[in-house]
Order: sequence, then structure tokens, then C-alpha cells
Amino acid sequence: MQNQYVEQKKHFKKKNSFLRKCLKQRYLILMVLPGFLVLLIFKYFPMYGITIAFKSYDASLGFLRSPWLGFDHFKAFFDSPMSWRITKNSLLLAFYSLLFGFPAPVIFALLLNELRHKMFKRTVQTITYFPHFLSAVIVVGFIHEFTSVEGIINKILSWFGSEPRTLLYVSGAFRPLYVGSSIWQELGYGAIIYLAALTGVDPAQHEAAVIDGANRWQRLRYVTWPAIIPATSVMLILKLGSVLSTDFQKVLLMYNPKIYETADVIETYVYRVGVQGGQFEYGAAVGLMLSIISFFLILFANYFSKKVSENSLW
Amino acid sequence: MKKKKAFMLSLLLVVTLVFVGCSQVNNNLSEPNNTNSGEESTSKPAEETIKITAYMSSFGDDPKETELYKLWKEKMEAYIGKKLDIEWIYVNSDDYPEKVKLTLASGDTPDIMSGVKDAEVMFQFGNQGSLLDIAPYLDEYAPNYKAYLESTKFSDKSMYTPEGKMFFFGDGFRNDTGLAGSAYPALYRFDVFQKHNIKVPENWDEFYDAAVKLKELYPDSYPVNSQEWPKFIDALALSNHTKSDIYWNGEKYVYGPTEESFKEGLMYIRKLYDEKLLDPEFLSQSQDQLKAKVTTGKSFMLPLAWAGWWEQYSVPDQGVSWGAAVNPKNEKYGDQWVLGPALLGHTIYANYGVMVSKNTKYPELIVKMLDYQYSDEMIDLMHWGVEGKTYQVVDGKKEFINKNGDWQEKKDLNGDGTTRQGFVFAPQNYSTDYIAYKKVQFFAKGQFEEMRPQEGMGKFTNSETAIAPYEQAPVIRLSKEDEAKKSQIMTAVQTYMDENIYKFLLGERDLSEWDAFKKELSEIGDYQSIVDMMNAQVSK
Repeated sequence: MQNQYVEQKKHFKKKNSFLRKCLKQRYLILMVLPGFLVLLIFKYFPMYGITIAFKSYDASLGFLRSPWLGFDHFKAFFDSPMSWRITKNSLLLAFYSLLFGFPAPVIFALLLNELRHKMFKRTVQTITYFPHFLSAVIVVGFIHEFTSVEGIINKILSWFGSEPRTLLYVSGAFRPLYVGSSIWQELGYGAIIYLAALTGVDPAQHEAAVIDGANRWQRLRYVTWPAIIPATSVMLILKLGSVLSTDFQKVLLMYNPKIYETADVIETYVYRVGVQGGQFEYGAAVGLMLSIISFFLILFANYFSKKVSENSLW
Repeated sequence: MKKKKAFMLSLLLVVTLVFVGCSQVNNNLSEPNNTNSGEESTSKPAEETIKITAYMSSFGDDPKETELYKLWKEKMEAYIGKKLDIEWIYVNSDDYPEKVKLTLASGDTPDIMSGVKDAEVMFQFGNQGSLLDIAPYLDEYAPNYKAYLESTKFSDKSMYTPEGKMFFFGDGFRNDTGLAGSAYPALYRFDVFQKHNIKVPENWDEFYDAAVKLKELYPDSYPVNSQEWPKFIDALALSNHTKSDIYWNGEKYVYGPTEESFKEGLMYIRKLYDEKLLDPEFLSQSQDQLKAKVTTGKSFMLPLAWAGWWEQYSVPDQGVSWGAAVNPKNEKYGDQWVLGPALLGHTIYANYGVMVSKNTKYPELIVKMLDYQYSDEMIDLMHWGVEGKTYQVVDGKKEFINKNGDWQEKKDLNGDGTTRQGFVFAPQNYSTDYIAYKKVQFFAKGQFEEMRPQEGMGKFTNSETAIAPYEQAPVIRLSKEDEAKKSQIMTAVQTYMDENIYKFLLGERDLSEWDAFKKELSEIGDYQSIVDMMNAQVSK
């Protein structure tokens, strides 16, 4: 009897302290609220729509009352004669983007960090992150101009004796163009986070290294680089999560049937079946599948990073 | 505690109900006074007033505030011999499909509702018993609409259920010009053609000869170019009587790209490409890139283009002047088809329409009213307006009065007029539609003449043969599963086909491999099974 009473009191106290905590942090909670609501309304509520991936959607019945179908739409994707090719294209494009696109801003930040002239450094930084704010339409417009028969790339290639041709018709040129233009666009903006990490390096360490006789390369290797490893590994984990979502808009603007062989990725193909063909369930099914794979990629990368380097998201 | 809550809730409910009731009563009382003010005092008190609700799709504006609406209503009332009190509910067209479904599902349906695209939904609600079957009323109350049905090919298949029921008035289209006009002629640099005395081509052989001559005169140029859409191959498909997809050839559905006539078109384009008469970028360039070429003397001929482009491509200061002509034809196949022709006479488009509620109190009257919208006098009022005010008759032909070139007269009558007047969707009218196009230099029969592109295309093609059979094909309503199967198979097939057409055109594959290609294509997807499935639907 006595015991029970104490238990209850404890429980009451616990509950009370939670409320008291909330009250104490009410302004913090208030500040979080808008962001929380945005996530809830625009990211979590719409998730009930995912169910159509398992349904035969009937507009007159709506999302909730349409009949269930099971995994037919997923099966249809794997049965398609094109599924192997588009999966391969997606993965390769992602792989190259990661291989070349990820280190580029890190290297760029390290190079910028070595610059002495402040004005010059600032100017370079501003110019390089400007392209980030251009929409895909404009960037692809540049690509069209540069790769046309009379474009600058053909001019340069012709100095080496190459016959001018429309590069967007050459299936082998698609991936370099896609990855290259992405690097150009995101280089400066991506470097910001590493530059921020670099400002945290204690100048005393550099001084000590100089006194110890370290040259520039050695200072970079043993002082600067360790300082940005945490930021780099977190960025890498996050990047892995979005590795499967190619920049659909950009591919759609860049490709043409001639280079389907390398340029047709999962998203563009699903767009043609799902949206142009009116099969929304199919599109939802493939989208869901990609999201789940990405989710596991993040989990895996995080686990791996934790094991190897002790840097992780959680 | 609980009881108290329940009590409060019910009290709240009662109060709101009373409010809702009040406001509805108010509406009923005030509306007739508002809409019919002036008139009611003059009309005979014995006349019956019909009260109906119309649930309409709109583009955000409110057409019932306009002068034209008053005229429409007067005419309608005179025709049915009764006063009208219509409650108009306008819903933005983006939300309309969802909202009308909710309304229909709620059971309290308005008397008249705009249809939704994809008639399947309308068929579905009809079969579920929400919509009036208008078929039994047609003979007695709908002479105008019946005429539309009779002059539309396959309307018996496209508009009725297998049991012979009809659940909506199809979207009408009136073309009283007698011309199967099209907005897609061929465009040429007339100033260059005239300067060097080159014949404006009428068929593909002349087209080739002209391109060769221009190449000799301007070695740096690629005389022939092509729009992003419609594509070059579409021009050949029209003249060779085929299509780059599944189409109705007048007897049955077939898959165009595997036909010999389609291959012939590819060979022609390949020849132009190989001889450097055709811009090598014709498949990938953007509209801006094309415009830069055609305004600076890099290209002189476009076999198929939207007629409005000639104005943008011409540079009067530099003497660059583009004009239009009928697209080149292939003598072997006879007269060419045209792209997007205006069907002749009175036709029904079976995927839009107006629906009537099963619960309406006045089925006969409503059918009569909707039918009246298909009459010539009503269409004239809705599209031409009032004689002397918005249009005048010149040489026996109606022309809009457009004094300042800003269509102010029309706006005075009908506001911005983006939403169709009356019960949406009332019939469209062709002659008032194309008249907004500017006149262009049109070449035909050896001479140049100023006229609207549609007039030229209509006048100088044979209206009987210019309309491709697939423009008036039986509408096929596949089941959900068949539709999914079609989309999945045909996307794979189309992907492989597009890819290889590019290879054939750009010289990466030789056309001698055509038969091998056809075999590969059928291995990618069994398109023939889809075609058979569609044909089976037709013969059902």
C-alpha cells in the first residue's frame, strides 16, 4: 500500500517535471514550432499518398477507397525490358557524381584557404558560388550552346584535329557533361561549409608546425586536413542518401532519344510511363522503392563511419 | 462532465444549423430580386419561374456579370417560354474534377454540371445512377444536338454505353467555313525564293531541288531546318499517310513506325542529312537556337511549323521575310493530311461535356436548354456577339469590329471572356477562333496572296482528304489494367524506337537494317498485342 503510493507520487512528479521543462523552454519550443509544422504538413501528411503504390487508383473513389493491389506495380518495373538499362544508368551517373563531384569542393576549399590575398580570395569565392543560384534550365541552356557544332567545346576540340559535332548526340559525352556541369555549378557553394570548418583551425597549431619545420604540404596534411575530416564525413553520409536521386530536371532537359543509351535514368523513364502515360501508381511505387534504398544507404554509411572514424550523424 | 460536453456540442450544432438555414432562406429570397430586377415587373405574373443550380468549371472569372450573359439569358428564356432563376456556382478548373466528384458522391447534386476530361469518370457516375440518361429525350427535345451526334463519326461508339445510354452532352465544335483549316503550314523565306526565282515546293521532290539550289547559292547554310515540335518526321508521316504511334487508319488501329511508308519518310530525311542540306542539329536545338538561325540566313525552309512563327522569324529591316505554303506532299500517297485540322460541320468531342443530375425536377426543360446551346443562333451570339457592336458583315462574311486592334468591343460585351459563357462546356466555333491570327503571305497555285494561315491551308487542300482518319477515330475506353499494360509496354517500345530513329536519321545505323530493327522492336515489347487489344475493343 505504502509502496504503491510512493510509486504514484514518483510518477506524478515525473510527469510534472516534463511539463515544467516545457514551460521553462517555451520560447525555444515556439521557435522550433514553425519548422516542425512545415515538416509535418508538407512531408509527413502527404505520406498517406504513398499507399497508391500498392493500389489500383481510381479517381472517382479517391486515395483511401481505391482497391488494394499488392506489389503489382513493383513487379511491373522489374519486368520492363528497360529496367536493367535505366538502373545501370542511374547508378553509374550517381557513382561518377560522387567520385568526382564530392572531393571537388573539399579540394577547392583547401586551395582557397592557402590564398594570402584577401580581396582576391573573396572575389573568387563570390564568383564561384554564383552558379548555384541558376536554375537547371539556364545551366542546360549553356550546355546546349557550348556543345553545339559552333560551340566553344567543339572549337577547342578542333585544335586537336577533332571533327566538330553536336556533343549532345554522342552517348559517351553525356556523363562527363552532366557531372562536369554539376561540379561547375556546386563547387563554390559546396565549399562554404568546409571553409567554415577551416576557420576553426587554431593558428597556434600552424605556428608550432612552422617552428617544427613543416612545409606547406605537411601543414596541409597534418594540421588543416584533420580539422575538416568531421565535416567531410558528415557531408559524405548525407550525400550517400541522395545518391540515387539524380537531378531529374536536368537530365530531362539535357537528354534526347539519341543518347537514351546512357542518359535515360530511372526517373526519366518513370516520368514517361507514369506521368505521360497516366500511371501514377507506377511512378509512386518506383519513387517509394528509391526512397527506401536511399534510407538504407544512409543507415549503412552512418554505421560504417561510426565504426571507422567515430564521426556520425547520430 | 461528459454529459455536459455532449449537451454543449449539440447546442452548437443546432445553432449552426439554424444559421445555415437562415442564410439559405435569405439567398432564396434575395436572389430573384437581384438578377431579374427591372424585367420582372414588366413580364406577366402568370409566367412560371424555373429554379435550377449550375455547377460550372471556370478559369477564375465570373461570366455572369457580363452583358453577354444577360443576352444569353433573355434568349434562353424566350426559347423555353419560362423565366429562369439560375444559381451559378463557379469552381476553378484546377479544383473542379475533385470537387464535382465530391458533390456527386454527396447525393445532393446540382441540376447541371460541367463535365470532366476523360469521359470514363462521367460514364462511371452515370452507371452508378447519379446522372440523367439523356438518350430518351433526344428525339423530342434535342434536335440541334442530335444533328451534331449524327454528323460525328463513331458517335454511337464514343458517346453511348453498350446499353445505349448517354450520360453527358459532348463538347461541340462548329466549323461553318467549309475548310479543314490547320495552323501548321510549311514556312519558307519568300524573299530568298523570289530573289533567285526558285519555285516554292509543292511536293518533296521540289522541296529537295529547292534545298540543293539554296545550298549552291549559300554554301555556308543548311537550307532546311525543323521545329522542335512538330518534328520533321511528322511532316513526312502526314504526306505518307502514317503516324509515329498507334493510330486509326480508317479501318483498324495499326502501329505506324513499322509501316513501309514510315521508313520511306526516314529515308528522305536521311538523304537531306547526308547531303548536308539539313541542319545537323535539327533534333536537339532549342527554339532560341533555331530562331537565331532562321533570322540570320542560315536556314530557309521549314516543312512543318506553327503558323504564328513566321512573324517572329521575319526581320523587316533586313529584308528577311517568311511566308507560308501548304506542306509538301508525296504524290505516291495522294493528297497530304494536315496537322490538327478543323473538322468540318458539326462535330462532338467525346471527352468533355455537360452532365445533368438524375434528381433534377425538370429533365425535359434542361435537355431543351442544353440543346439550345448547340443551335446556330446561340453559337453566333456566344462567339460573334451582337451585330454592329462586336461584329459586322463584310461581303456576306462576318468580321469582328476591332477598331484599335485591342479587341475592346469584345471585352465590353464579355469581359475577359476566358470562361465559356452559358452552361460550360457550350460548343466552340472555328470561324471566330482562327480570326485572331494575323494575315501572312501565302503561296499557292503560282501566286502569293495575303491571308490567314488557316484560310490558306483550308483553301488549298482538299477538305475531304486533308483530315486524317485518326482525327475521327472511335474512342477506345480501356479498362484500368489494360491501360496500365499499354502504357508500360508502349513506353518501352517507344523508347527503343525513338532511340533508333535518331540513329537511322543521323547516320549511325543504315536503313538496310530496317528489318532487323523491326524484329528487335518486337522483342522489346509486344506492341502488336496492344494494337490487337484496341481493335478488339472497337469491334465489341
